[in-house]
Amino acid sequence: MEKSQTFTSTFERELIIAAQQGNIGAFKELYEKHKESVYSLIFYLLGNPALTEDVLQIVFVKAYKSLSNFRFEARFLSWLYRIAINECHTQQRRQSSYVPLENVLGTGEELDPQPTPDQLHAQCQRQEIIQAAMLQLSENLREVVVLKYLEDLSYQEIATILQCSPGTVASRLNRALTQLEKNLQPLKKFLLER
Amino acid sequence: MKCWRIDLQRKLIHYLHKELDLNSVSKLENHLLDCNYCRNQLAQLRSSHSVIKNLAMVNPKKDLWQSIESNIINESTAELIKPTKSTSKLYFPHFPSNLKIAAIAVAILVTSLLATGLFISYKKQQVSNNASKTTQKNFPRDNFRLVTIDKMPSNTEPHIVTEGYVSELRIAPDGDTTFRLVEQLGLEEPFIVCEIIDPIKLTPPSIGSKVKVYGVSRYDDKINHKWYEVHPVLNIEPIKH
Repeated sequence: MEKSQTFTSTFERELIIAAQQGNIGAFKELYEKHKESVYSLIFYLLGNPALTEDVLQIVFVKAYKSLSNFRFEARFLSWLYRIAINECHTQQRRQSSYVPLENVLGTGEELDPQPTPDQLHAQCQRQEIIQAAMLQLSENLREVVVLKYLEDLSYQEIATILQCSPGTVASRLNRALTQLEKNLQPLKKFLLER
Repeated sequence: MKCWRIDLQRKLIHYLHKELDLNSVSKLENHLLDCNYCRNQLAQLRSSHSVIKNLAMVNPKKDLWQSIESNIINESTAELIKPTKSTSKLYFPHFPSNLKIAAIAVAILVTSLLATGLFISYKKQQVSNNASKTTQKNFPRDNFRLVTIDKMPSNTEPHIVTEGYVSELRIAPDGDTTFRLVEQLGLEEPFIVCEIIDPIKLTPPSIGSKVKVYGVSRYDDKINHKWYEVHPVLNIEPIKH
């Protein structure tokens, strides 16, 4: 996993400035660059692919509308994450806190009809198990895990996004890993072997 | 045996994520050499860490850009027609930093004020003051320069006539009406936004119709706008296909 960049690159800076001036093409490039990261964050926080797509759209529309507030004080992606997390909180308040397991594991309809090689199949299973274990974590523990393990952000960066102290980030990560250890215990052998 | 060095146990997670300074690393490693309890704690953290570090990025299954783009455009247009008590907001937008564009915009705005004033008094002389209508029979067409939608960025004339298809129409509660004009139906760009203001009572064109629009050209520099406009619209003439 690539270590996250602390500063916004010159190219990205130019794109942001152009987008702030109304250049929607520049904003599209920013979207293309960051959509996967933002989508992943939302997906792991909400655990529902259909809702994730809706929220991703809301996040980028909101980001475009409030681009003038972006002052280059943080990484652009961190700023997007902040918007995404706020939007996930809003959605979670609207939805029931219960997340059906088929939302995580899928109904089977979205699976590729072509036969998958064993290794790929195992990889999918591994991801599904990790996702299921993640969804058993409370919301605030899930947030730190996703920010840490998807983007390898520093404690300080995570703290900035979540508006808490680096000490709180560390404490939540500690609790999350301890809880994940319990959640994953029965499947650990499978996960580490494959 | 349980270890009571809580201060060092709290640092295990920092150690795992390489968030400790060298001095603290050295102190903690010395402790780990002697403490079986903390070694176990670290091993447990490492175990779930080794699994969760495989957390993979997920890609959206479909391209969502089209939808995002149209939402941005729709929301921006909706903002454009929010009810405003004072018309000054319509005529004194924020100018872009580029001096050339600013100079053009100032010229256009001053002229638009004059044109609107003149047109309103012209309207008052009409027999039916409140009657809605699409076209003005005695409208001074010759005073308007023909500019195609794609040539709007290079236009410097304040009074223009342009033609195109109506792709979108919005009516605000205060009576102001905005419609989007494109060169070709089905193509989002190039486009301009045309605004019929309440004092100039014109019947809005229907979506999909081809029309000729007379009015004052201006550039809307609002952060989410940045588009060319005919504002106010002074006359609309339908064009038969």
